[in-house]
Amino acid sequence: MSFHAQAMAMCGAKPPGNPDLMIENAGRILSIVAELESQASAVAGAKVAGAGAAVSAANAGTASDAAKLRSAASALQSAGSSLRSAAAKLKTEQDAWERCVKTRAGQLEHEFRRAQAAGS
Amino acid sequence: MSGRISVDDAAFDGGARKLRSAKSGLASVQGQLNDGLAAGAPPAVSGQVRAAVASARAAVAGAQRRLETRAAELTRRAVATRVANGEGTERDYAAMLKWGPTAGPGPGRSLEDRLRALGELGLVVPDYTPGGQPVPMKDWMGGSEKLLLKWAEIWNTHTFMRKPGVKALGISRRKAVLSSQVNWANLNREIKSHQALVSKLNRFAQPLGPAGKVIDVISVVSAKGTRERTTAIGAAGGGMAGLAVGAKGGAAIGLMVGGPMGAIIGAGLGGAIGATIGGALGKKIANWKPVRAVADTISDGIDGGKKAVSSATSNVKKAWKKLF
Repeated sequence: MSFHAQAMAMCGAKPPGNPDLMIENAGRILSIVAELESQASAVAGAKVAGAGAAVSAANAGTASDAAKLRSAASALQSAGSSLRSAAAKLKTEQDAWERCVKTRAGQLEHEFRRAQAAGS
Repeated sequence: MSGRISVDDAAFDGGARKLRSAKSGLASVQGQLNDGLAAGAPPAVSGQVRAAVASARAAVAGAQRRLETRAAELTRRAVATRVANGEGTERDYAAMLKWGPTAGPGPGRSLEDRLRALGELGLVVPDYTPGGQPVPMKDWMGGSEKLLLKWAEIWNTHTFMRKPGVKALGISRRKAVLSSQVNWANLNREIKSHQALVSKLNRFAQPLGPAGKVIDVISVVSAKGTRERTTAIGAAGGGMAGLAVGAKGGAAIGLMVGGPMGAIIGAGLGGAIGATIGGALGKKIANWKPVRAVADTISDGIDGGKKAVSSATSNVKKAWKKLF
C-alpha cells in the first residue's frame, strides 16, 4: 500500500461533492434569479390601460403573478446562496482533507525512510 | 355613433400584447431552470436547490399560462367589441368562429346564436344604462332566453310601437344576415343599425322610466302585446282599405242600379261590407306569421289604407257633387 493510500485511510473518506461545479451552478442560479426578478418586474409592468371589470381583473391577476414570480426568485436566491456557501464549506473540508492526506503521507514516508536508515 | 360601445378596445389589444410579451420573456427563464443546477452538491443541498428550481419552474409555468389566458380574454373582448360596434374585420369573425360552436356570429348560425354568443363574450353596453356603467350584454338583455329571442325578433323585424307616451316608431325592416353565406360588410352594417336602433328605442322609451330602458321597451313589444297590437293594426288597416274599396265599388254599383239614391245606399253598404271583409282579412293577414314579423309592412299598409280611404272619400265626394 502506498503512503498516500495509507494516509487516505488514516484521514477518513473525502467529503463528497464537487465544490467547483457547485460554485458554477450557484453562479448560474443567481444569474437566473436576476433574470427572473427582471421578468417579474416586466410582468408587473404589463398592466392593461383602461377601466372596467375586465381590466381590473387582468391587472389584479398580473400583479399576483408578478408577486409569485418574485417569491420564486427569492426562494431561488436562497437556494443559490446556500449552494454557494455549501460549496465554500465543502471546499474548505476537502482542502483540509487533502492537507491531512498530504501531511500524513509525508509523515509516513519520513518514518519509513528513518526506519530504513536505522536498519542499514 | 351613440350606440357605439365605448370600451377602449385598443387598450384591450395593447394589454394582450403586453401580457404575451411578458409571457414570452419568462420562456428564457423557464429554459434555464433544470435539475442540472443541483449537480455536484451533497444530497442535503441538492435537495434544497431541486425544490427551489421546481418551485420556480411551477411559478413561471403558472404565470405563463395565466398571462396567456388573460391575454386571450382581452383579445376576445377586443374582437367582440369591434364586432359589436360593426367594425369587425374578417379576421375578427374568423377568430370568433374558432372560439366554439356558439361563440361567433358565423355562417349557418341563427341570429339567436349570434346574439347569445355576443352575450357569452361578456359584451358590455355602457351607453345604455342611466349611470353609464358597463353592463354585460346578457344582463342588459335580461339574461333570459325569452328576452334574447324577443330581442332577436325585434332586431330581425320591424319595430312598431304604440303606447301612451311612446311615439309610433317606424324603422324599415332590417334584414339580419341569416344566410349561410355571410357577408361580413353586411353583418357589420346590420350590427351598426342594430346599435342605432337601440339608441332610438332608448330615446323613445324615456317616458317609461329611467332604469332598464331597453328592457322596458322590449316588454312593450312583448309577444302578446305585439300580436294584439299587430292584429288591431291589421284589422284597422284592412277595415279602412275595405271601407274605401267597398264604398267606392258600392257607390258605383248603386249608381248604376238605383241612381243617386242607390249610389248613397251602395256606398254605405259597400263601405260596411268592405270594412268588415277588409278588417277580417286584415286581421288574418296580421296574424299570418311572416306578416306579423314584418310589422313595417303593416305600417305601410296603414299608410296605404289611409291614403286609399282618403282617395275613396274624395271619389265619393266627387260622385256626390256630380250627382247633386
